[in-house]
Amino acid sequence: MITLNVNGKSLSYDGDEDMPLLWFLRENAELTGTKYGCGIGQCGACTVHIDGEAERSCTIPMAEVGGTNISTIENLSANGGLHFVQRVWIEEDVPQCGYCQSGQIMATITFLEKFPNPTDEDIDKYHTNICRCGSYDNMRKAIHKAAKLQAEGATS
Amino acid sequence: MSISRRSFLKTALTASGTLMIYAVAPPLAHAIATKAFALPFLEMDENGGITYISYRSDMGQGSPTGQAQMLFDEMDADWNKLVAVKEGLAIDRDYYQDGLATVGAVSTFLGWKNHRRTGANLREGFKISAAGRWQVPSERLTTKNSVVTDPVTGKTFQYHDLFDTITDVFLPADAPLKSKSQATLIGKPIPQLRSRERVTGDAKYGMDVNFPGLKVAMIERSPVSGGKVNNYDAEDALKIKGVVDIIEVSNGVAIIADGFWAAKKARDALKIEWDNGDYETQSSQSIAAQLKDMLDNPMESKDLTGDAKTLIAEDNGQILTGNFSFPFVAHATMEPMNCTAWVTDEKCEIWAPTQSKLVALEEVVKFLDRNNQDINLHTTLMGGGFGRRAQEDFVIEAVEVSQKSGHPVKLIWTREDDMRHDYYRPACELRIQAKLDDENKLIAWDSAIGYVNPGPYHFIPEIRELHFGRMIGFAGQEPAYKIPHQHYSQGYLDTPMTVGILRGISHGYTNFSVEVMIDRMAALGNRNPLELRAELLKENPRALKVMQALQEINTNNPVQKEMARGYAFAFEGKPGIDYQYYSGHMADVSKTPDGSWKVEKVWVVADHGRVINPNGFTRQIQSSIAFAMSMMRSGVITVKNGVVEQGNFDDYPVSLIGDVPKNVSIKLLDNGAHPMGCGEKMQAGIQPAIANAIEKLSGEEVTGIPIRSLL
Ligand code: FES
Ligand code: FES
Repeated sequence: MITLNVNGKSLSYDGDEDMPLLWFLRENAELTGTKYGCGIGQCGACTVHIDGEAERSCTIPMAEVGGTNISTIENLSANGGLHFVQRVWIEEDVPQCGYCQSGQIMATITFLEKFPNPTDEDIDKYHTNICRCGSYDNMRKAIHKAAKLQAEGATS
Repeated sequence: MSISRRSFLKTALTASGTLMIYAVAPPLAHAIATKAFALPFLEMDENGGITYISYRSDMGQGSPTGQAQMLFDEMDADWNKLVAVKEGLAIDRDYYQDGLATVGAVSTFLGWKNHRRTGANLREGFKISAAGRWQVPSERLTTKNSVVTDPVTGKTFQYHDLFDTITDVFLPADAPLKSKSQATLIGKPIPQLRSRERVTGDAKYGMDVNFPGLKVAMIERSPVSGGKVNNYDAEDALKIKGVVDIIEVSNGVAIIADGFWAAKKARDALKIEWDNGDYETQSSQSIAAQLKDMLDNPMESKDLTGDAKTLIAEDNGQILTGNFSFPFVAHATMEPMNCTAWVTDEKCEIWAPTQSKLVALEEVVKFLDRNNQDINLHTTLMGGGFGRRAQEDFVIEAVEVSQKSGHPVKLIWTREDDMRHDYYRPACELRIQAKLDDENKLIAWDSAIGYVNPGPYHFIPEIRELHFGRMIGFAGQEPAYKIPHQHYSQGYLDTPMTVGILRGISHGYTNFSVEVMIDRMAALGNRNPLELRAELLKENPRALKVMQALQEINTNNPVQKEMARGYAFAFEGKPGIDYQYYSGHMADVSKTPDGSWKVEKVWVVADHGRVINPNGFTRQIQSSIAFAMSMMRSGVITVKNGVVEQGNFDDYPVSLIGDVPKNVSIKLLDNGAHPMGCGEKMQAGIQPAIANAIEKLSGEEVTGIPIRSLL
């Protein structure tokens, strides 16, 4: 039996421990904001925070997540408001189809913790989530704008 | 109110005080629209909140936003009162005037007519209604932001104050449309609708459909295109916990399980013996060889004007020959194919992320041999389309699995399924011979193409057997340039490997080859490439203006050292018809230390008619650049022993944020012509501009895509 904390709730699981966390989140916890795009850690659509680190949940088996704290895209607006990264995402009109954007946002939040004042080169090198719609231009602007808000004290 | 010939709008007030507005599609002469029917178009609640019902698929290209802008503008409705966008249900294709596939330019191109017309008639309806209440002539009333005002008395009515009477008002059919300068929303950079749900994870895509009892299904399909199941052994697979059933279906063997992981594990444990059929002897090389052979032994050929072949055979002037080769290309939409279906004895409910809801519905009707009325097809949001979702294959698969297994199923394609069983952009070979006379004038053009035939897989089933169906494989072969002698030939190869439409269709390779040849000709004749194009386009005023605007940008922005600049022109249509657009492209490319190429800057000048939403338009150009660059650098599907070799983003890499140019400059020449939209239209010009720059930089001839490194 594996127990883990997802978005502040304690959940348990006693199925196949090889199953990637992604499918636990989408099917067992019914949190479908986290997306499946490749299943091999290439695209980042499945990005969630595990103990505060951005991870690609399609490559993390359930066996490894016992006792962890997991936060998904749904957690950001759990109290009805939006996280500042979500807000700039709307302001900069980033989403096209939107399918990749949960992962993009989750990746950006931890990226900005590590690079509070990112250069374009930092973004090029460390923001590696795929957006097949190519929303990259708006996204780059949104990341810079979010960094500014963070510097001004925005926390959520 | 009865539906008369004068009015194509119908209203009804519900018990809860919501005004429902229906648009009536008139019957057409051709087979797909023989009956007139009303379809829900708008709902206005008692507080004036408006729900717009969209019949086009929303895959991120922004069509619901643009269409609502057209409607609200003409209606003089308050944009802030747009409370929701609802998906229009596919009911019966006879209800509509077209196949309602969301492909090409239709949302904008066709939406332009019916959305503005509907909006204008409603606006007039509200005016007539208010005029009746006030007993004043309607001509003196004005409308703005969902309010009718009488400027003489200063009295106002909100639109929703008028619901009682508008139901009795005879809505006009031909209210005047606004001029460009009167527009309030058309042409404004309004953010895309539904962004909030797309950043919170609330947006529901096909993959997210869920209800109690729903199972996950997965199909193991023949690795070799066209192969069939000989027999299979499911013993080990059935032992996997969570597996519910394993059955044979038309396309292979289906696993039905409680969830994705159990289905996938079971599928890995299945043992299937395939009858591979003929295609197992084929590879990318053998296909290319057959296509190349068609260049010399065409199946169709024609002299469009003059006698190009004879001229080219003559021993004078200069002959330029270009050989080009293009591989299969996959769509790789962010959300892999999927569909949820629940077939019972009486009913069939379908939730499909489809670009082609009516074709999908019709094919289900045929497949199940049931009445349309017993089938509900809901279109979900979709994670990208790029043409892939115009095919109905994945919908039929889900319906078959549900019907045969008796379970409601969400059929999920893994990324590998998606990449190995795509409707690829056809592989093709092209050869162009051009002749310059002694004054370096382009006088003869001979173009030969061999392509894998998408006709039999056309997204509109009725035209699968027609010549017209093959158009998506060779459209764009004939340039817009004025050339006195032109000859064209083609051959097409039928394969069990499915091919179809991919963003920009065949223009992606036909126009690519044309534009590379034009830059080469300019170099050979020592001409400015844009002036040469302008000269060849001088009889097409809109195209000419685009070239002149690009030339001005070119002159004002000299190429930096260590970079090379390439040019291209792209178009569809011709003067005199609504369906025409023109774009000019310029790209600066540099060489990276590791011998690869980097696009530094891209310029696009576009005349796609009226621009509905400059924000959306610009985003689609950006999107197209990322898409084009994926394809040029690495978007290659290869076949070995009849099997597609790539399966995921590790062996089919696509553009990341760091791969696309940061510097993109866009100039939109909105001259007021019929709007064309932009979603798929840019592929044809971006790639050849980049290719031409690469050719200059490397001194090596570009022979198609991919272009991985500089020599
Ligand atoms: S689905 Fe996890 S990285 Fe693509
Ligand atoms: S918005 Fe469509 S994949 Fe990113």
